[in-house]
Amino acid sequence: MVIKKKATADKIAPVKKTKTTKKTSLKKTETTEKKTPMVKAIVKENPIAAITPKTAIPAHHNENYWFMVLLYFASFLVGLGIIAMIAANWQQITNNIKMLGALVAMIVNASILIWTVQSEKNVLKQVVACVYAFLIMGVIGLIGQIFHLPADIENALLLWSAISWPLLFAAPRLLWLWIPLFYCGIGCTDLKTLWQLIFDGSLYTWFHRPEINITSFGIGIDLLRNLCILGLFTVYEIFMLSKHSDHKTIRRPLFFFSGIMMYAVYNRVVKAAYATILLPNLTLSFKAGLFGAYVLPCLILGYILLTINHYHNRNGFMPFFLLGTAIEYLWIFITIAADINVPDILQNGSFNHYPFEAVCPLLFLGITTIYTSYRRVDFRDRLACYIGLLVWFGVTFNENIFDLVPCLILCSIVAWLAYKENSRKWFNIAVLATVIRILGYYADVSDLLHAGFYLIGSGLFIIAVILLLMKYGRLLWENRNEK
Amino acid sequence: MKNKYVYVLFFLPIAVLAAVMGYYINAIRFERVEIVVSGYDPKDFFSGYYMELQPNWSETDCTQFADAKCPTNAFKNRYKFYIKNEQSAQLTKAVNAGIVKLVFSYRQGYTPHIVDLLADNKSYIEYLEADK
Repeated sequence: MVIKKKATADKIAPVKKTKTTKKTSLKKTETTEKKTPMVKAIVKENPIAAITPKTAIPAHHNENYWFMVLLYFASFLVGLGIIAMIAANWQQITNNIKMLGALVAMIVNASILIWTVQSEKNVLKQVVACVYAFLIMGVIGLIGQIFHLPADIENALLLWSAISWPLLFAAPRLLWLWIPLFYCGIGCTDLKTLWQLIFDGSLYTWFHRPEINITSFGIGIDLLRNLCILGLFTVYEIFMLSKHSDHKTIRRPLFFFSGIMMYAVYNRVVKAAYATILLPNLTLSFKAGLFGAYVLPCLILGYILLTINHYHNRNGFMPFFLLGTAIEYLWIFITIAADINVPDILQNGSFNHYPFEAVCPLLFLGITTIYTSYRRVDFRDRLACYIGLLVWFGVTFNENIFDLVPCLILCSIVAWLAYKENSRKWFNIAVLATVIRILGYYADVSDLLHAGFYLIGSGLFIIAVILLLMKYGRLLWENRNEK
Repeated sequence: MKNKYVYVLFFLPIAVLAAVMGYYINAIRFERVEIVVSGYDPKDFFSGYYMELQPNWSETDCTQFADAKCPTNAFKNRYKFYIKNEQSAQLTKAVNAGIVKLVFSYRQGYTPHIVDLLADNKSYIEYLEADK
């Protein structure tokens, strides 16, 4: 039912763009332009779809989404190729020429970007912006290489996120890249801490090193830093959503990452509550301090985040909760599988702290499942994708090339199913999974120079094919329909 | 895009990275000092191949510094020197033989920056060509 409604809304969009009021609540949404006869007919046929905010789809959402995803993928390959070629260390070329060449390449790229923006070449603009983003990253790497700076990936990513944000004006979809790299830049470089970034230090340290007092200076600073980051991100989200409340490209990544943050809030609150209530050897004042300094701010900030997302788009937000949970749960599952020595458990019966760690996301999954079912979100599709993700994670993080093939096949199946079911979200996730897997394979390639040529060549080839298809593909479909 | 001045922002990364380049070009113009190093050759995903090198102060000639005293605190415990993949095996041998030195641009009160790598008292590129 949901899919059908979405499809109808998509059909309406190219016919007539309607303006919605800035706050897109269902009841308040009104069309302010005069309705054409065709729109009147559609409204008569499906009045719910006609008044849904989805009718006000901006122009760039009329693009063919899988073409766009492939274009971003190809731009990613080109960018990766640039980094590989820089990493190949060209000693025959003097350092000054390398730096000059890098600056010229960036100036050319920026000029092309301005030209594409001015001439309203929407697709090319996004490709050029994406390549530019990777070029900036490559040049940062080049500077490190020329001056033999320590390979500090966090500082490099922080510098990248600090100087590449103007590209978001040209290609808001780069938020999907910008936000996680910014996260990594501020001190989070692995998958587990990515999900737990906001509240990483304090309780983790306390649980694993109980001799350290949670109110000590270092941990307090850690907590303060994390709360500041969450606060800044919340302010940023409020600002962006208030400025672009009907802009899906901006809304989606913000929902995604705030969903993950909400999960982090939830996870930490449960752990803190567990410690506050159940641990016997803590004084009352310590428990009160823990609650005041940790649980309360988490709850307040969590409530703010939830309210923002609830107000704007409840159904768009919940799947990301599920995704965050799925990834967290899988991570814990993998950790358990990797660490637990089964014979040792059978002999000694020791599980340490794992059951509690595993119960947390399970509990959360249960709550969100009930919630999404109650809200009549199309749950079966999400469950299928959730299982698909479980399987994908099972096969993807292996170094052997033979594991690359089943992973790519699996991703292709998920992408095909998503395309068939008209689910852009899961199609994009499948492509993202493919990109990550190929990235993993790139790490094993021994000859960086050849890898660079290969990546740039294949990326440019895909871009050329897609641009041609976008230009002439519609003619093909029209001819097909006429026949 | 409504505001045309936003276009100027697309040149922000170029301006910042050019400034960073300028900073490091200036930073490697100080006096040269040579420090004996030991180390190995890992591979870095982001940067390619490099040698991980640690200063060996007991073997370093401290008379090149003021008061003939090695300013150990001014230098880091580890440095990275980027090389090509095929050079790593030869250079590792040289490092193990204890004939490798890092050349720094150094001035008191400033952060030292790597300028070159010497093997057997000549630039490592010359050394590798001669050693073939």
